[in-house]
Amino acid sequence: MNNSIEEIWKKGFISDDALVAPKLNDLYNKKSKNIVDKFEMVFKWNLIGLLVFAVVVLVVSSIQGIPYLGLFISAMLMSLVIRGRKEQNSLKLLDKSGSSYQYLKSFDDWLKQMMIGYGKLYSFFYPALFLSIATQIRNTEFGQLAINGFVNEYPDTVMLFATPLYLLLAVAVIASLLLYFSGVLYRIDFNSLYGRMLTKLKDIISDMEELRR
Amino acid sequence: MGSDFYTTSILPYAPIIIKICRAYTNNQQDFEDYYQEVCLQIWRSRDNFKHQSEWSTWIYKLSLNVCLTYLKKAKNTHQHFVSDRLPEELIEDSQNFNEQSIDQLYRAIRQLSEIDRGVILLYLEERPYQEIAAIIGSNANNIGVRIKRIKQRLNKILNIKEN
Repeated sequence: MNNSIEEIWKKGFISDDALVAPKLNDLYNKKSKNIVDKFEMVFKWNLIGLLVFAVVVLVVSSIQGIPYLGLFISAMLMSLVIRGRKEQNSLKLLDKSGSSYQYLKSFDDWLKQMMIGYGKLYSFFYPALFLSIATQIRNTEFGQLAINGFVNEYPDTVMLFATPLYLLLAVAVIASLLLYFSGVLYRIDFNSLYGRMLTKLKDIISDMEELRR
Repeated sequence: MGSDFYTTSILPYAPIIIKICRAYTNNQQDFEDYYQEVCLQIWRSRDNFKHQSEWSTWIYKLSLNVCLTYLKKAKNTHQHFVSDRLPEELIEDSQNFNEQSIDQLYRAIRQLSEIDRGVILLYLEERPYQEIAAIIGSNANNIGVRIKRIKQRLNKILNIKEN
């Protein structure tokens, strides 16, 4: 080669008109597919994790001599898994033949519906989990010792089901608070897993909406 | 992205973006992906432009950063090429480049490190050393030395006799 690199460069681009810009079509196709795929993957592994955890809880609780508590918690976890499987199947039914925008909007709608459904389930899950653990603790040796200590300290305390009323009230208040804040707790739980994806999804949808104007 | 913004603020600078994206990609598909990503990032970051430099300088900077980030992601997922080896299948034809030697020059540029690619592109685009230094995050003296070294390497690859 005889030309210098500067000359090659200049000759190569004598006219900038020769540089044809690619069309900006399907700008978000890949992004849309990626985000839904990623969500599906995390969701799937989350369900597998819950399933494994349900089995582990059952086995460990049986070994520890608290099989009923284990069975109850496992059953609750399994209900989450079953619900999740249903949601997974409905996600597959989303229409992929439309535009990226329509696809992402339908995914967003699916997500909102799923969160409402799961939110309801969790409003039962959190208090029930707490009550089952509290009941189990009450029936252990440690629980009985604690109650005896409480009764010795406050001999005039009112008892109900062989348990100090104040203690029952405290448990009831905590369970009520868990019921009341179950939505918030679920969102915190959900965002810890999917928060970044949700933010990205919102950004993409908002970009696309601006694009459509 | 509003079509007005694209037409008035991006399209006139498309040659810059095309030249940079071409140096970081090996095929038309990747090139179009990079180009679209750069355009998207320009649009999304448009409010960050504070008029402290020319719009074109800002576009150079953003294009390079997007290409470097994209390349890093691609490397991490092992989906694309590596920069230190000349890929076997390089696009021979190019609707954007009508001179065969420019393709050869691009092939040579792709053998450089990611940063050196950016430096030489800016140099070939006749940007002042000071501006290249500002874009790359170096100082003008270092840029001068670096450009000399990059040119030597390119000349060697392209078998160009130096004066």
